Amino acid sequence: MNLSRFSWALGLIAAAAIVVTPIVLVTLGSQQPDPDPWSNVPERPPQTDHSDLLPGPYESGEDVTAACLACHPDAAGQVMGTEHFTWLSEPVEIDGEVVRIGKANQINNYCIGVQGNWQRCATCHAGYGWEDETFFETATETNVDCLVCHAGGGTYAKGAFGYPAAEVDLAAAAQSVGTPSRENCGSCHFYGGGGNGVKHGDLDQSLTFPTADIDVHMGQHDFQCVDCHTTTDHQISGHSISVSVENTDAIACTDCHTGDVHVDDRIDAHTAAVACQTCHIPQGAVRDATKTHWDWSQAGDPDREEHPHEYLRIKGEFVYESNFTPEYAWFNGTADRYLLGDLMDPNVSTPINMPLGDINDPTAQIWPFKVHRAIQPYDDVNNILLQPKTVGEGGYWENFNWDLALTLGSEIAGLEYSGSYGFAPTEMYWHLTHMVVPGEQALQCADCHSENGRLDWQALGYFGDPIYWGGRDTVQTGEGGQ
Amino acid sequence: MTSRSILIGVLAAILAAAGILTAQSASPLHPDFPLLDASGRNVQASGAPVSTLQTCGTCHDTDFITQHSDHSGAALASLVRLPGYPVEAPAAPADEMNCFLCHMTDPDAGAYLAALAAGDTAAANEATLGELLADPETFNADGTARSEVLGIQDPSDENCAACHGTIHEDMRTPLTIEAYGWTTETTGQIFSGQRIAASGLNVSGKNTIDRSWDVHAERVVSCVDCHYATNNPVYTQTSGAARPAHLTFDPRRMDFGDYLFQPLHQLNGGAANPMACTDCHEALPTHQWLPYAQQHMDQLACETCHIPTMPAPARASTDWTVVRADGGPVETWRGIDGDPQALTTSLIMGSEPVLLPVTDASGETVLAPHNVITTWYWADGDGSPVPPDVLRAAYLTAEGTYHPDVLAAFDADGSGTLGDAELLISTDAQEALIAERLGVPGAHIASEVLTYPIHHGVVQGDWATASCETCHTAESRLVAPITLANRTPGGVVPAFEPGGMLVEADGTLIYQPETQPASGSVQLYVLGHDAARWADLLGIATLLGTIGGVTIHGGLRVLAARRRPDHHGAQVEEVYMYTAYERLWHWLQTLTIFLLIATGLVIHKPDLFGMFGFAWMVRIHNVLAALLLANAALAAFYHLASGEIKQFLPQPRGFFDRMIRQTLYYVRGIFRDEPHPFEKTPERKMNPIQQVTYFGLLNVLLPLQVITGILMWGIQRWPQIGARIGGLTFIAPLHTLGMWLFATFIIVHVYMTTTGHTPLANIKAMLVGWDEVEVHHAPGD
Repeated sequence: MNLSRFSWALGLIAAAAIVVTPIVLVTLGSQQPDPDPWSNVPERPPQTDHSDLLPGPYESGEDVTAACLACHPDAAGQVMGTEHFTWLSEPVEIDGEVVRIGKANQINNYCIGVQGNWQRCATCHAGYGWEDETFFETATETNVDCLVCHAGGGTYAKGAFGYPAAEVDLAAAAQSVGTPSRENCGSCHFYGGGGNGVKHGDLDQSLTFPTADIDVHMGQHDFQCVDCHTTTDHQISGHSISVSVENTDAIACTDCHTGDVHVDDRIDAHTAAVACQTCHIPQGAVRDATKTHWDWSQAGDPDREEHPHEYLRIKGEFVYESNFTPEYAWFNGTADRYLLGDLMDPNVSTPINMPLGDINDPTAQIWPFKVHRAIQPYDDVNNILLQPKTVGEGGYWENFNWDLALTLGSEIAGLEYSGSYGFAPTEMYWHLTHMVVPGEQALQCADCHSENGRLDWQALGYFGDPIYWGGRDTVQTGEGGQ
Repeated sequence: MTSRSILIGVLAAILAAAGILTAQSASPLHPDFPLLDASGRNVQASGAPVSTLQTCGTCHDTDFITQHSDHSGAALASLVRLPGYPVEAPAAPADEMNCFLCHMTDPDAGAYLAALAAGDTAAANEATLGELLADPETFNADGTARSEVLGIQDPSDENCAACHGTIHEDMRTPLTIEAYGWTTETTGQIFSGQRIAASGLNVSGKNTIDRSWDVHAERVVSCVDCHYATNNPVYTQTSGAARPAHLTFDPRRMDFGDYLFQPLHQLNGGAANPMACTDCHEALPTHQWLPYAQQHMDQLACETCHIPTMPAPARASTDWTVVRADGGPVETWRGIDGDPQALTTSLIMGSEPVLLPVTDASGETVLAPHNVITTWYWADGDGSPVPPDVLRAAYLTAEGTYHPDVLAAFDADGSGTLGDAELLISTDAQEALIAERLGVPGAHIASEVLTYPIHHGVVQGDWATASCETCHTAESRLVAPITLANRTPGGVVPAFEPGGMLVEADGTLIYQPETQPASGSVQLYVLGHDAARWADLLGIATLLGTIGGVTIHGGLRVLAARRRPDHHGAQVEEVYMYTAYERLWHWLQTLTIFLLIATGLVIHKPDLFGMFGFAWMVRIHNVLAALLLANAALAAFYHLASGEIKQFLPQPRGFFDRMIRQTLYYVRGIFRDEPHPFEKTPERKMNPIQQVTYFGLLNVLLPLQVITGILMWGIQRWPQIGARIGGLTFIAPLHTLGMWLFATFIIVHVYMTTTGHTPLANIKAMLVGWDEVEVHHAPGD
């Protein structure tokens, strides 16, 4: 009769269960957890202390690389296949032509082009000894620069042709290696174009140790670049349209911020047509100024007063802006590209890397851009943009002779130079995606939907403000766009 | 200075400040038109003042517009008065409605008011045109004025802001207040989409206030989007009730030409056209999270929760019984620490609006947020306010200094000047002096409380009041005392319909709201805040009395048992007394009732049990109640179907005899170890007293509790049923009393279980089903 002796207890438990079950159901039914963006952030690998593993001393950067390869035999081979080393893309089709393009063989509208100028430009190359165009024919694994990405804070710097700067203690740098930090990535990406913050408009040294109001990820949550720019076999994800025209390996806010991220349905209704960045990056270059205009035609005046943010004899006239209001355009992740030798019209501004997409492209969203406008040399007979030799012997920065610099540069770049040059306007687009602010500081409705809002609706292809006219999904679009 | 000129000066400053706002562009559709004088001639030729009614009347029915306008002269005069200034309608409007003031991009409102102040009402409207009238660029060769230059347009927010208060649309410049407009001064309302954290005002803790000043402004809703002309075809909707059932849309509309000829200027939201949040918002679907959402909406205006605070300062009181050296009254403000006119140095604290009953657009009386301004002034024997000039003359000499008699009566610190603290009529002598100096028959101090409803400054859900504890506690928001003024001139306390005025020892006047005011249109029973004292006192007294009774009875039993060393009980046998279902039913009900009492107590007095969330407790209480009801219904079915119901039915014949026998047993026999007078058998488990008790419990107490409970729960779904029998104020105390009686029953019930042949025998029987009953005769009888 054991069972019946305790049956009363079972009965009590049953009664309790009958009472508790509906309470639990009601309580649980009212809770629904939000998706946690942290669950998508990769875990950082543990660091290995290399001080005992790499005792040194090392004579050269190549020696360090050789030491690295003893334990990481595949690493250099992997790096040599990445754009950080080749400065060239995988083959892409542009205007029906399959080409490999990149910093190695194309121009921009800052310092214009690397060809012939490797001495200076290669200080940001993840390799050693890019002295001339034959570099890639002879480069071996030890020409890979491991330290530029992996050396710990402040132990390493690069000099001419990408060799380590003379002052660097290579053993100390080697012993300090670890996962790349913001400082490593920033040592090139914050200083592109020849100085702090010159190029991107959303990357500068204020991000090395940022406060929360500069960038919520890196400032408030101490993100490192590689937390988002995840890496497989040294292939780092993410790209800028300054040279990459295809939309592969892109990183999106929605990789981590999934679900209905806004409390307000009205805001969620925007996400098909408006990039997250548009509202959450209200201003570019929030601290350090970025270059927005560069007039090469003014260079060479020995009498004009120099100021690094206004005028340099070697470079010409500049405008820098901080905390600037971005320009906005449709963007589907891909870009057109001006290729060396393409005909251009000197009377209009030539877009070097026009972002693609328009109001009728369902994959395009309105994005914020920094637009860099320049006036740079072109061949006024052949109507092509030219690439001068600036650095080294015969370079413009030494002789201040445009004709000589363009002759030398054209020779190396394989351009036809007629001997007659002029200066023509160009523009480059940099989509802004860093320096993100949290919701409390994001743009508000009236920043765009008002009399003097940020967006030129008709230029974007709308009839008018979609708050009155409806969006591209609800009404037919106008024809004002391009 | 007359009161009119003061007001005009104030308004002019506001308008000058408003002038810095960005201008909107003129309507491209409006044609050029001649400016006409009162006799219909072009003013370019006649040189007479511009007549708006003639000029605009060329195309628009200006007589119609004047007659149907909230902003025509007569309407303005009845609406506008200086805050706390009861004396007269201030700016006497111009002879004609001023069309330019609202329909020009950049009207010269300052010049308009200056002309009014100078008494030049005929030329006041023309003055609004400012320098444009003299500018040849304004006119075409044919003498018509260029609409584009005048900037003829729909009223923009800037036009409204010019008189009504701070409206700030520009996201790029921080909001500041140059001068308070009418609505901002009287209520603290600011209409701007800018985040408070980003604004230029010195708001306390503003870094964390990342909400906008007003969510509608943030959502780019402009003034006329809501306050539209009511016959504007864009907004015209025929109500569903007015349409035949077979129509969903009536395409017969007023066309725009007719509308533009006779636009109604009684704007939506004005006195003639009350508007409600629910005109645009479907509230219930977004308030699914809110228990008893409909009940809340029946009692509270949307604004009550969605305008939880006024972040900007507002006027609190005006004492016109005294005159400052500058000719103005002594005033106090709320929501600001420091001088309200020095916003760069004063710290803006913000304030909670006063909740007052109003009749909303649907005719319901609800609590809605207000600012209240208490004002004191001198009135004559008829009760009419004393003109301000007379008042100033009583205090000040022609040179603008205080009269020596006044100085002698008020200058407490002997400084020769009077500060705000000294400027207070606190003695009979002071009152008599001023009354005499006024020279007005029957002069006496009068006072009133002016109420100003608050509709702007709306916040979205995240910032709205959403915590139950805001109201459902002893310290409920609904009864938060409001300091009306730091003074009570002449000891005169204004009448205020919602009641509850307190004067503290230092003269501070406080309004103490009540949920159940002695005289008031809104009677609320707020769970967790309100409790009927009588129900609690009666219930607790019953409970305590019962506990005392059973303690004495039990103590006596113990004593009696001690004196009786040999107390072998009667012979017992095991009987299967309670079936498994009966036991399950019993213990389930036990658990449910215990939990119902526990959660009920938390709801009743959340302050005493603060660790439980109020809303959670309400939800669980309702679940438990449903469980109790289901269990009771199943048990009733079981007892009816099995015939066991007879256990609960007293047999009428000889019932009283049996009851007396049982009573005598409890009073006497039980102490003498006498056998129970009635045998407990499976066929008759209950003695007569039990039968009576359960008869009462099941037929009175349980139904009372269930019905009052259902009515309280049903307040949400069928509010009219609860309302018909007196609403929560009547039902809730009954439910409370029922709870106390249930608790009393439990005490008695548990005690009585110990009266079996051993103290725990009955409990054990209810657990295992087998009872040991006394055998008084041979088994098988």
